Order: sequence, then C-alpha cells, then structure tokens
Amino acid sequence: GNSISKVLGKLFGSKEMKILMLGLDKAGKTTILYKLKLNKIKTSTPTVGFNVETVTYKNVKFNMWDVGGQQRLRPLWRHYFPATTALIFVIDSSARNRMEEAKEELYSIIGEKEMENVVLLVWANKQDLKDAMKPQEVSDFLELEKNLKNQPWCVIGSNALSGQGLVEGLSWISNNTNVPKK
Amino acid sequence: MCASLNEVKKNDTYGVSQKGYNDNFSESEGVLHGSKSMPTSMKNMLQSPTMVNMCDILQNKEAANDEKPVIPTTDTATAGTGTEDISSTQSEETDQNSHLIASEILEGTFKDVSYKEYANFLGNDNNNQVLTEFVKLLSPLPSSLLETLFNLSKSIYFIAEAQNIDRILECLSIEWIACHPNTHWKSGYKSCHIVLFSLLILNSDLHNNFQVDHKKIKFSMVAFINNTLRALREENEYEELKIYSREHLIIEELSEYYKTLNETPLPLCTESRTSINISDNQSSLKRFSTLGSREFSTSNLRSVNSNSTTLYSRDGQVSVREMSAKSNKNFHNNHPMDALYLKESFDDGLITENGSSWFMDDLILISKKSLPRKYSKRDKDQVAAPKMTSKRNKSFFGWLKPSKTTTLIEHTSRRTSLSYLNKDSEWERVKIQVKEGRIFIFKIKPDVKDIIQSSETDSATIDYFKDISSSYFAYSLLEAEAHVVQDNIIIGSGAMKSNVCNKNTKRKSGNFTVSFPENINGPKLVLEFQTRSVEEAHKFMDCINFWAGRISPVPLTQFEAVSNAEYGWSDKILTEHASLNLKNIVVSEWKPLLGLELLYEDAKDVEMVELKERLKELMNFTRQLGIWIDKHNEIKDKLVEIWSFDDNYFEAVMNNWNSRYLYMNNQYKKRLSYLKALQKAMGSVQF
Repeated sequence: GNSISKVLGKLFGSKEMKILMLGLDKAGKTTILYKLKLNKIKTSTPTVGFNVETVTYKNVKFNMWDVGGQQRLRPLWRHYFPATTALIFVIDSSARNRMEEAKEELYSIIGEKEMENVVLLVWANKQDLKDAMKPQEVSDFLELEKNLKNQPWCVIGSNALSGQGLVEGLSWISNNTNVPKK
Repeated sequence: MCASLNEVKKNDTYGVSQKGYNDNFSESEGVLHGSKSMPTSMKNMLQSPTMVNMCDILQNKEAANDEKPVIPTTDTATAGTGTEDISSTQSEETDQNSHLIASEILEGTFKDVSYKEYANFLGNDNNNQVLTEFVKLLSPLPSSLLETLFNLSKSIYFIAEAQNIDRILECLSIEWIACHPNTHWKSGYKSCHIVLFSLLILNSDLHNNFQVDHKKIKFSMVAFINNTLRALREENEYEELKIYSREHLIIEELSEYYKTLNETPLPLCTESRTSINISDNQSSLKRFSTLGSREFSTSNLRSVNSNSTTLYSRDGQVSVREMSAKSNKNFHNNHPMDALYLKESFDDGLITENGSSWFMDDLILISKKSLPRKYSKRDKDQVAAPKMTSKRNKSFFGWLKPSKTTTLIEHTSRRTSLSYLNKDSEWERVKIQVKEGRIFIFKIKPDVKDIIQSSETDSATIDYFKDISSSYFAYSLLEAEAHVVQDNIIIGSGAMKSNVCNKNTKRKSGNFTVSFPENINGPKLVLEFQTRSVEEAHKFMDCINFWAGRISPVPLTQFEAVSNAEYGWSDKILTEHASLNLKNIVVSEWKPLLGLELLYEDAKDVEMVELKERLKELMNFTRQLGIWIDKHNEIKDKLVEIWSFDDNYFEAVMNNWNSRYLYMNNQYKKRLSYLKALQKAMGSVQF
C-alpha cells in the first residue's frame, strides 16, 4: 500500500517539508518512522548513519529526521533547524515520571533562536496504555499556552502501533504551514 | 545534564519500564489491556521493534550456552522477572558470552538478529557489555577519528537509531582515547564523541540521496567546523581539560576530515556474507511484519500499481472500492480475503444466518446509476494524475472532490437518493451479500438471470455467483453508512406509481442507500438499492451499519487534540474579548483533520477491537460528542456578538463555526446509527 505517501502528496501539495522529530528515548519515534516508512515510494540508497525517512511523492518531499542523542550532541543539530518546516516532539504519555524530563528537552530545543517560527506538533504517544495522559493533560503539563506565544502548536494523542493520530498530526501541520517554501 | 557511561547504566530503569510496555504487545492480551484484545497488526508491530527481542535473544543465548552450572544465583533470579540488567552481570560467563556475540557480529555470523539490526543491537543500553567487547575487537583504533569511523562502518551495517548511534560512538571514543592518550584531545572522550557524531551528520548531509537538490546548499567546510566547534565549546570537558588551547590543531584536523569525507562517503557494510543472507532477510521480514513485507515483496509492489484500478479477467470484472487492492485480488482469485474484524465465539453461527445483523443475502434492485461502471476509471484517474494545486486550501481537500468530468447533476445524484424520487430511474437486479465487514454485489449475466430469480440462492457459494456474474464488486464497509430512504422521505400514495402500490394488497417496496466517505481511492460514493419491502430495507440497513460500526474506529483523536490555533472561539477570546485587540488576531480556517481510517488500503492495518469494546467506545463517544455539540451551540450567540465588528472576521469565524458544527453533526449521526445497530445486534445475542 502507498496510501500514506499519496496522502502526504495531497496534504502538502508541492511543498518541501523538512520535519525534525525529537523526543526522549523510548517515546516511540522509531515506531512512528516505521509506520510512515511503509509507504515509501521512491527508495533512495541508504546512507550510513541516521534514520532519515524520506517519502517522495511527485514533487513532494517529506524528510523526517530522527535526531535523538545526549545533551552534548544537541548543538550539532542546530544547523539543521533553520530550514525546518515543523518540529515533531514525541512524548510517551504513559511515562509520567519522565514528563518533567521531556518538558525540559522540548524547551531546550524550542528555545533555540532558529526554532522561533517553527510549527510544533506534539504527539502524546502511547495513548493505548491505560494510565496515559490525555492530550489536554500533556498540554497543561507542558504549559505551551503560557510559553509559546508566537508559533502554532498542537498536541495530538497518538498510538504509533495502530497509527491513530499520525495522519491527523501531519494534516494539522499541513493546515498550519504557509505557502510552499521554495 | 552531563551524560556519561554511568548515566547510560542509570537509564536501565527506563529500559525496564519500556520493556513492560513492549511485553504487553508481544504477549498479546497483556495486563494493561485488560479485555481489549490485540489486533494482529499490533502483535507484529513492536515498539522499537527489535530492542526487546534482542534482550530476550541475548538471554536465551546465554541460557543455551550455559554449560557450567555455576551461574550466579542473582542472574537467574532476576531472569525470572524479565528485568535483569545484563550489563551489570560481571560473571566470567557473561564476559565470554558477550565476547562471543561481539565476534559473531563482527564476522557477520550472529544470526539472532538481522545484520541490518546489528548496530541497533549494540546500541541498545541493555547490551553495553557486548558493545564494549565489540569495540575492543576493533582495536587498535587508527589515530584518525575519521578513519576510526570508516573502520566501524566497514565492520557493521551502520544505520541505526540516533540514540543507539550515540551509545556506540561514545563507547568508541572511550576506546579511542585509551588507544591514543597523548593527543590534543587528552583524555577528552566526550569531545571525541562530539566529533564522531558530527562527522556522521556531515556524512548524511553530504551523501544522502534526497539531499541532492539544486537549491540546497550542503554543509560547507566552514559551517561544519563552526558547528562542531560550537558543540565542543559547550561541553565542560573542553574547558576543564584545556583542550581549547590546541584549537588550531582541531580546526586543522576537522578540515582534513571534511575534505576526505566530501570525496569518500562512509562505506555501508553490505550483506557480503552470503551464507546468512537468506535467513537474515526472512527473520527481518518476520520481525517487521507488515512493514517489512510490504517494502520487500514484489507482489505487493504489483498491488500498488494495480491499486484501485479495474482488474479484468476472462469472465468478469472486479471493481475496486475495497480499501485493499490486494483483498480484491484475493477475492477475484478465490483467495481468502483479509479479515476486517476480530472474530469472536458468538460470530460462528451468526455470520451465515440470513436476515440477521450479521448476514444479509438477497436478490434486490440497484440503481443503474450507482452501479460502479465508471467508478474504476475515475479511480484510476485519481491515482495517475492527482490534482496538485499550489493553493494550499485546495491542495488539502481538493483531492477529495470528484474529478472535473463529473457534472453537477451526476455529482448530486450520487449524493442523494434521487433514483428513488425519479420515476424514470433504471433499476437492475443484482445479488447482494452483506457479511463480515463487506458488501458484495454480483451483476448476474442476463442469460442466467431467470434461472436464479428464485430466492433460494443464499446457500450457493460465492464462486458460483462469480461464475454467473458479468461483473462483481466488493466494498469494505469501513466508515460506510446506510439509510432507509422511507425513514426520511414520506411521499403520499399515488404520487409515484413505481414505488407505491395499494397498501392492502401489496407490500410497499423499500429503498436504502449506502454511502462511502471520500477516501484516498476516490470521492464519496452512494449506492442506492430497492428492496421488496421497507422492512427488508431496514434489515439491510441494520446489517450494514452493524458491520460498519464494528470495524470503524471512533475518531476521538481529533476531538481531543489541543492546539493554539485560533478559530474564533478559544477560551481567551470568549472570556477576555473586551480587553483584547481582536484586529490583531489571526483566525485560522477550521478543517477536520484527516484520519488514518480513511486512508488505509489494507484492512489489516485498521485496529480491530472486540465488539463489546467498540460498543462501549461508541456509547462514550456519542455521549461526549453530544456534550461538545451543545457547547458549540452555546457559544454561537457570543461569537456573533464578539465578531460582528468586522465583516471579514465575522465571516471567517462563522464559517469555522459552521464547518465544525456540520462535521460534528455528521459524526454524531453516523456514530449514533452505528451504536443503534450494534445495540440491536447485541440485544439479539447471548454473550
């Protein structure tokens, strides 16, 4: 099936999207990548190093970078920020004990000057687990309302295993990004 | 946050909790899930797919190789709980095992995980010891950090998760410092770690295929050096060890690295070790289940190409509205089709009981207009040449609309029950079966039509009907909705001869429609049917809505989403509008978010839940949605009051309000009809 690639094409028109995906380890980033990757149409030769999922559909390119790593490596990613269309931050909604850590991580990235105008999507992942925090709870905890005044943000509950929330999230990014970046 | 190896160990606690999460999936009916049983797709799709397996594999391996009976008791004790920390086990035994595994990985003979997953295996924080052993095997490391990286990527298929790469490179830099203690890096393994990681990013940037783009400027040498230096300077160690004092050497070193890497990308270690390839691929396919198989199997590639086109055959035609081209192919080729629902014990007898909510089978009339003769072509057009407009608002929903060739009337007639109202409508007798989440339509060949006019047909097999049909169609009922026309339209007797006869002598025929929402394969589609009685139309409706409700996920996600996008009715606007300068506010256009359920081509991807669970979901959802609709209604007056100062704002906000209202209302109606159908069906069954 190639439905996701197709829908990405429909969603993003001829935009070139560069999307960074971040989140603590075990938040579910890889599972999300796998879920999206399955519909890759054009496969490029793999390059040593990081998981970079590229979905190409006609003139749409959708690059999703898994940019994890420790604190000391974070400055290295900064150079990739300016061209970023959207930042996706993945949270394990069931790991309440790591919420504070996740919040710190999120703000340390979103606080970068280069990220000022980037659209932020938070996937409150693992909604299928019983004690998972609801999107509203996650949003309250992260205090996005208070802290992010100038950029569009959205928290969407997701379950990377079933795919719930993934298209909704990308669709939200599409609704909230401006004219094609050339 | 200064991470070191100690911290990596500390992370094991997270590993443990994560493991719990995964185990619940791999062992299906997990504790957390209670009665909710696991759809097959979830069983196969593990979070960070192989990580947990790897630990298990490692443990199994240890157990298998366990010849001496002197394994420390702590080891076995914790093994029972499934939370052991392998890296902390310091027994000689484990050392040897780790060493063994490490050398197998280096030789490419380690068969427990696919060679493509070696790096993820090593980088897993539970496999620290194997990683350490592995890095030792690479020793002595060359004096150049870049060369060290080359050696690593020559020894192992090195594409992995960023966090795993992080751990491998950290371990590698510790070893490198041990091999070369007297360089300008001194004992600064953290700095080396940064450089190695930076080199890897550079490699991706310079050599990743998709990055080849005329407009894209790749990392320049200066940018690379600056970027790396900036990261180094932020690392405490750089200062503490006074590494900065030799920064000129570092700059020199980095520029050399840049030149080399620019010319020669890091080699990707390929599966040259042919002896293990086959088993590797197979196991990786299994492990990644649906994802892997879809990517690698050629038959699936074919199904992509043939997707939503018409499949011709010698004696008939299968048109595809089914979510999965493959399923239809299976249907056509007499292969079993994918299950759309979770079969439960009570289903057994019911799915063959004609006239029940589970199964409907009859020869009834279909409006010729709704026979999908043109449909497949339009589908094909849609796939081959999707309309891509530069205007954003069009690019999003434009594709959902029918193609240009459809006239307005044609378009409208597909949406409404026009055939019923139009006395000139042409009807054709077809065989309809509604079962197990699908509706099957057989257009019987004219020459055999008379023979099977009798109603005793439901016992015949599908094959039989395929044989005597000139064309046949299978539709998945995902998100479909059936209505009985007579529930909504009441027409005085005598107004329409074709439909209404004398009440006392003959039964009144019934009509029902089935509508399928827009999806990736095509626009909204409405099929119109006529039955002998209104009662039968109701039965069809119940059956269709029962299956649709049973297999369609509840679209809760988008209602729970939280965002700061302003549609005109945020709490802030509602409460503080008097003190806000409304002219500064940007009102976004409200649109429903697309849901995955409308996009899936493969039915097996849709989450399957127990009937009882679905019923509960629907009850909660409709109740909640009712509340949301009430709330939405309540704010309307206030919105009129707040926004009437400016025509443009007023229009934007009111359009938003209407769109959302319509969306919620449609959802409410549909889910309510699902709920009713499910309740009705369950009322007739003992659980």
